[in-house]
Amino acid sequence: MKSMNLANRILILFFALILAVPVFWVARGKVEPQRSLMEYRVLTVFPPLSFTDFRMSIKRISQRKFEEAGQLFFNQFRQMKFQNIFEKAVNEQFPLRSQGIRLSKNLTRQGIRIAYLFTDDKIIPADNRNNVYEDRENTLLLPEPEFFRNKEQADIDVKIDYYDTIIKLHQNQNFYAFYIEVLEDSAFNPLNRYFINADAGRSFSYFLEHKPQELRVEELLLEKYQDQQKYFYRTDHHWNVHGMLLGYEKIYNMLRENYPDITPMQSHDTIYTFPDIEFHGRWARSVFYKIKPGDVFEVPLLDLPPYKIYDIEGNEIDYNHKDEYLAGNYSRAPFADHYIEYNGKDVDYLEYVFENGTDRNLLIIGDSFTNAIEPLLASHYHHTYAVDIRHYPDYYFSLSEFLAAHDVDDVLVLGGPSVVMHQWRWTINP
Amino acid sequence: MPLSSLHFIFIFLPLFLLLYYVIPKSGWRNALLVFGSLVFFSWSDPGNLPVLLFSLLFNYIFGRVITRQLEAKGRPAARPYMWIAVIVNLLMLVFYKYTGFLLENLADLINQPIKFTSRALPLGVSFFTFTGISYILDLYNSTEKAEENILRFGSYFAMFPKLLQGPITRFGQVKKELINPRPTMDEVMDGARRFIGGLAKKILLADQLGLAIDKVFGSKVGELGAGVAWFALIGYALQIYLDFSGYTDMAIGLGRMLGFKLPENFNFPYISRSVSDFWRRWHMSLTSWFRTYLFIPLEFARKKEKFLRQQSNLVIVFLLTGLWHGADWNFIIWGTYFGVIMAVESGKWGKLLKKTPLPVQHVYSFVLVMLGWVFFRITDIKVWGPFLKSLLGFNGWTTEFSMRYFNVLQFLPIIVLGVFFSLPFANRLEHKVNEKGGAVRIILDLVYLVLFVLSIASILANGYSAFIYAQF
Repeated sequence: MKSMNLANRILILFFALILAVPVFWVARGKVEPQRSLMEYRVLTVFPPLSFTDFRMSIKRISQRKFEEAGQLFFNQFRQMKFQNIFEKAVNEQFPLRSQGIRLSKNLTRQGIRIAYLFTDDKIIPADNRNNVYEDRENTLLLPEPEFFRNKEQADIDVKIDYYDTIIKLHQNQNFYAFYIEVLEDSAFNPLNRYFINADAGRSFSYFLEHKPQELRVEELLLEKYQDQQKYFYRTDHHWNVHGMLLGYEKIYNMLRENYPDITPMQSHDTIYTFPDIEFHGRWARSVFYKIKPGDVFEVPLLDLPPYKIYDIEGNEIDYNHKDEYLAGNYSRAPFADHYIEYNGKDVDYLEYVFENGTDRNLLIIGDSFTNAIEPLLASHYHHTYAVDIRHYPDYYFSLSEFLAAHDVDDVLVLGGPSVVMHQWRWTINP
Repeated sequence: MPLSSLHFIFIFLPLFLLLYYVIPKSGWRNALLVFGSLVFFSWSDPGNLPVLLFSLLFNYIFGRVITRQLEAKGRPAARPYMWIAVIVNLLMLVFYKYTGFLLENLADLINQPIKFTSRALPLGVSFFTFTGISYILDLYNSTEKAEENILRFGSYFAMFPKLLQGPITRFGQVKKELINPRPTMDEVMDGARRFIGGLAKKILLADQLGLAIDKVFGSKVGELGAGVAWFALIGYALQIYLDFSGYTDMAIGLGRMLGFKLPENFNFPYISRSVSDFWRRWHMSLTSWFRTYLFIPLEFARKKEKFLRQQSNLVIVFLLTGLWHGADWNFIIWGTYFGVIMAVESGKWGKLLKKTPLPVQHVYSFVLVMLGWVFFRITDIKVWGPFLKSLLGFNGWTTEFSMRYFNVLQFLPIIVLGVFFSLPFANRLEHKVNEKGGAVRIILDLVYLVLFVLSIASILANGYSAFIYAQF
């Protein structure tokens, strides 16, 4: 009986635990919305409830003004708005939430490892929910292959038609595309053999074969699996400093074909390594997996001419955190997105203005890959407009409207497969 | 409010239990239980709260009328009230659950479009209408007397642990406890163990399996290799068992914490030796409901008929059991399929089966039950043929492609654990530990605590998925 009582006492911990959580929330009081560095979003807080509104709505009910009563207080419950936010807040304000998530992800990972213990597979899933894998031999994370099927081919056809139309419509501009081949679309993704319709470089070959002749295309292709580690992060989908600088060189040479008096390439011999940053990028973040060692975070030390950056409203802005980083002021949080923090967040529109004696202007249509290379490319132009169509309302961007409002000589579509070859969220309307 | 959600576990439950244990008077505890259950319901389905309230009040009033008529004038006088009550309960179920299905099929039949605005299905309507009918029929059959105290009746009818997914509880099973619902310390702790066990089954096993199973069934199932097809089918069989029995464990555990002994719903159905045996072990409260309120009355009503009476009654009962699960042809066929098998088993075949070696009986039952899950899981009847072909190996055994594409291997530990917890080993082990007591019991309780922490960590990481049976 004594031992039974002791067992019961142990289980009282269960009740203590479930009670401790609401007590914690009450004791902590109201909190301001906080940004989660791991998830790159603002965490939901508990929705407020106004006692005054409640009292007033009761009064309205007594006056038989039911609609007003609903609008004042009750509709938020009837329409489930309050409940939905509340439930989200319970999860996102949960004490020790990130530790809990990490514990669960680690447990899942151990389960997967046990399952693969008796196979000689080097590449195994890193999680059971996200399509991220780990290469146990090379200590890197990698994504599942993208597909190339009729659907994808049809999408590329539409994009090619759009290119055709815009090039014919805007004959005063030079059109360029720079394609960054990511592992998802590469022939060297080691997972390709498991995915019958894996892209394996086929979509880009198709694109090259069918693109309009006037569209000048240059590319950064993976020529072997190891190139992934050379040009990209091992834990993130973005290119690293080496990939970006190689891209810069290739783009520079491409632009020079129609821009003979382009200023000399920026010197980029000095690369700075942040000694205390172990970068764990998007793939690591999505599976909460700090692979050891994390990525080295390196940046080029450039001596660019003075320049200013403006937002879509024309306000001068401090776009990136390069100066802060170089001064040692950056987040030490385990999954901080140093690539985005250093180079700048994705925004709809940026305008770089360089006083470098040239009057030539460039429009870059790109994605987050662009953020790292924009200042380098912009240093050869007077005005450089960087557009990320994903952040336009309804993803609507009209090139005609843009060119009517801005004086542009060169148009460069720069990025991964989605930007260069696909339509979804990156439609360049003529 | 799903029982496996964080807001239930960390807000509703502690606040409710705190108040429930503090309140000294049973009447007030019943009042709290009714109020808490209505809050529990309206949190997720505020628009249908009037439906629940109507059902509660209607069955309470008609229950009293029926008992009064029985006592004053006998069964003939009570009969019309019984019929009205049963029909209104059934109409409510038909209106919300089957109108769309009926009109859709009628439109197909007359080849004319019929305009219909579908209404949101009230949560748990299949369960609380069946509770209402069982209450009315138990009163009419004089098995029970109507509950006069509306708070006690409300506690029985809307009790939140069982409100949304059962177990479908007969009034007689909890009426004594309704008088003074006060659990002992041991009951509370047993309830906590059962709750945690159910939560872990749902979150750590069923939901994990669901990830793989949904992916396979979401693909072109007619092109699968036999290996993946069988993986998906067995995985689904485990998922639905762990999901529903997990819920039931949580509901029974919560009931125990509140001082009620809710009926069991599962008795290791996958060790059954025939399909009839399976249905004695699967969703027992529903099977018992159909047996008591439909099969036995049917047998009685048709007692003069000799030819295939029992068999046809079994088909009718299981057709309706299928229909109860959902307004779709696949559920009707699923139910009928089991009805036909049970009809066959009720004859010579059943006797013959009992004489076969035990492994044969298990394999026989397993294969037929698995086949049943195909009809249950795949709502599009046209896909059944191609999937069955996949199962039979028409597309070859499993290619490396499909094994890897669906990441079958990574779910094997979950399958192994799922099989373990679907068989009686763990249960027997716990019984032994309970008998032995002492340090082993303490260790087991520590395991429960660890399981609880891991389940919560998993909910934090992955959110929670709705219980499969919540849609029925």
